Amino acid sequence: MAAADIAQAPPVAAPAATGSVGIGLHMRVAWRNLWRNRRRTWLTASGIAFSIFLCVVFMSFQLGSYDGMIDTATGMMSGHMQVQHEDYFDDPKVANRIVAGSELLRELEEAPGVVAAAPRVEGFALVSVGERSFGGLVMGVDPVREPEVSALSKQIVEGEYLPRTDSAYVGKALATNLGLKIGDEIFVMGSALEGGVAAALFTVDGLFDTGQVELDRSIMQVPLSAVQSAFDLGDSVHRIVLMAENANDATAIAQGLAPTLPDEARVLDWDKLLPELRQMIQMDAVSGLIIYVLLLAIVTLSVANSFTMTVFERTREFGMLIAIGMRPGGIVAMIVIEALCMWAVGTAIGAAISYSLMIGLGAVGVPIAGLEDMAGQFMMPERIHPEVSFFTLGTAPVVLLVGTLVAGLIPALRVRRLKPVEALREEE
Amino acid sequence: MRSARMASFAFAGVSLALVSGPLFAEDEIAVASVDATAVQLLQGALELTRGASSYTRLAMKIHRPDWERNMELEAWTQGQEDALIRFTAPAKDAGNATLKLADSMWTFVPQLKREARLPSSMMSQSWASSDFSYNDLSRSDNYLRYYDVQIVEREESKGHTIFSLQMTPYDDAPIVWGRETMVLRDDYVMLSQTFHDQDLIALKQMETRDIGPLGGREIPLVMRMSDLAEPDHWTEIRYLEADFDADVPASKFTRFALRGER
Repeated sequence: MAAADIAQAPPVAAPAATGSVGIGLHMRVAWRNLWRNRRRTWLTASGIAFSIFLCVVFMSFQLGSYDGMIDTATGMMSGHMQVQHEDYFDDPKVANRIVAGSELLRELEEAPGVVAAAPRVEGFALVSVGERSFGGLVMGVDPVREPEVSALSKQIVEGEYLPRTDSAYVGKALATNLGLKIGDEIFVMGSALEGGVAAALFTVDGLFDTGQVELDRSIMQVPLSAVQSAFDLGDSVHRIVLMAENANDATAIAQGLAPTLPDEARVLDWDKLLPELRQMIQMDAVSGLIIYVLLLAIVTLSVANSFTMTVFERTREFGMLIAIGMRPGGIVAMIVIEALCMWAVGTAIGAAISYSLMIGLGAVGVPIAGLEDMAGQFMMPERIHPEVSFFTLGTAPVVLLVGTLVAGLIPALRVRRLKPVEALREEE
Repeated sequence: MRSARMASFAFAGVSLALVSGPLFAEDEIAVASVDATAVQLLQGALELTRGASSYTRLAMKIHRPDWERNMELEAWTQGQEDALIRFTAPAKDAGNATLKLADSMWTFVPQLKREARLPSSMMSQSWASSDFSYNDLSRSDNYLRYYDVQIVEREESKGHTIFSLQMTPYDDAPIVWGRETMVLRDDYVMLSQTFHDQDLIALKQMETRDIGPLGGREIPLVMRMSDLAEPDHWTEIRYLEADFDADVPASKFTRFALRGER
């Protein structure tokens, strides 16, 4: 094969002997050279295509799932931002409260970037049903505003969401533990703000089931005013939960709000409220990164292998080209252009398949069938929308472009050390 | 005095010592010998004070940097296990009561006419917003078996031998503290007790601030429990009245009595 190729090649490359050769000719020659060994070219190009396909698909899903995770996690309880007493986050005791709760709530509802706001008060209390009791968090919420900041009210499986001033909305696991059903009475007892006993009675009017065991067995929501009066809290609140249009805007909006708050209050974005969420994402991103780096490195090595072979096999050809006057630099350029063509073929195939797939799936989303329980536990949404962006679609092709250039250039540089006489004597 | 132990256990079982009564019959003046072992000091007291019953009236002051609350309460005890504590003032809290029967505790809220049993997960919570926890209230002679008790110091002062005890819970003991230290006079009056966490950092301290005769005995009259982690957080209890040989009917220690029904 090589003999035939060489017989064929010089006439094409011959104009190089004239000295100045246009890039167009280099391209044409390189393209033709590429197909002199079709099988090898196809194998290498499909390696490139396959790795681009894998990287694009994985990255789109990975990044797409992060947005879903953030939305699901912040939408369940924490919201995008919270305004709290400055010490409440580290020391959530009843006394660490924002005193003028309803006034601040009104101001925050008007604040730029805030699309919803809801107040909460919380107290750790003894929760007792008949002969059974346990220690739990009693959360006082505004029955109208709360559904705008938290998905908890939508996880209802039985009854209604806080229809009366003494209603309780209880996790299903908690209800099971306590033997509770709709209509049962709950007795709640804790310590009031300035000493003394805080106590209240509630009736179970609704049960929820989020799939997050921690929430389902520990949380009990009741109307805000009931907790405020039982704990002698007056108009005080512990958290004002805020939602932005998009979770990614929370940090910027929080920075804007900070100077407008009363002295004892501070605003926390979801990054601070749910530090484990960011950590989870970072850990996942790092493990993904390792796989991408390995995958792309292996493909780059296979391209390098392919071009090293090429250069060895074509020593005689290059020797002849130099002998008839082509500059070594021209040959290097030609080989590099061959590498680029190889990359272009592989990328065209890989990108065509993966882009059309991701753009399609990005629009409709992919249901995680049968994983609802797991989705609940790991704060995953039930549908993943792969992220379609320059980053997810473009990273793998660009990294491989650099890889291919390097893989082609390094063996090609050998040509500059080629002595035409020795090269021409080289055995095929 | 042995009954003083009862009363205080009811109140503050906080400490064994607080409560430790004499080793001997009531009328003898009981003083531990200088050679008493730690276990003798504690166990002797425990074993010889069974069966007594008492009635005490106490004032409790909860102090915080920005508020203070004065409360009054009555306590009845029987043996080492049973106690009933009922608030009598202020009006808002009057009638709130806590009943301890062996290892169980109930609490009653008169405004709602409801009672609840305290789960073990709540035992370390504050009792009535004070610096005492339910655990502090509920300690009894179970106390001893969980600890390795050592006398670390003996000292003569004003005619008394003062013992410093160090109590380290065994590894498998259901005790939240990493260590407790106690200063005990040879007539079993507790002078102070300090609670350390697992890193041996002192978190809570109970001090006797006044000792005097009441109910025919020399007892710690005023005790203050301070939260060492939060400056200016303390709760002080003061005996107003004590009858350490009260004739308390067994019916006092029932959930019926907890509800204030006679």
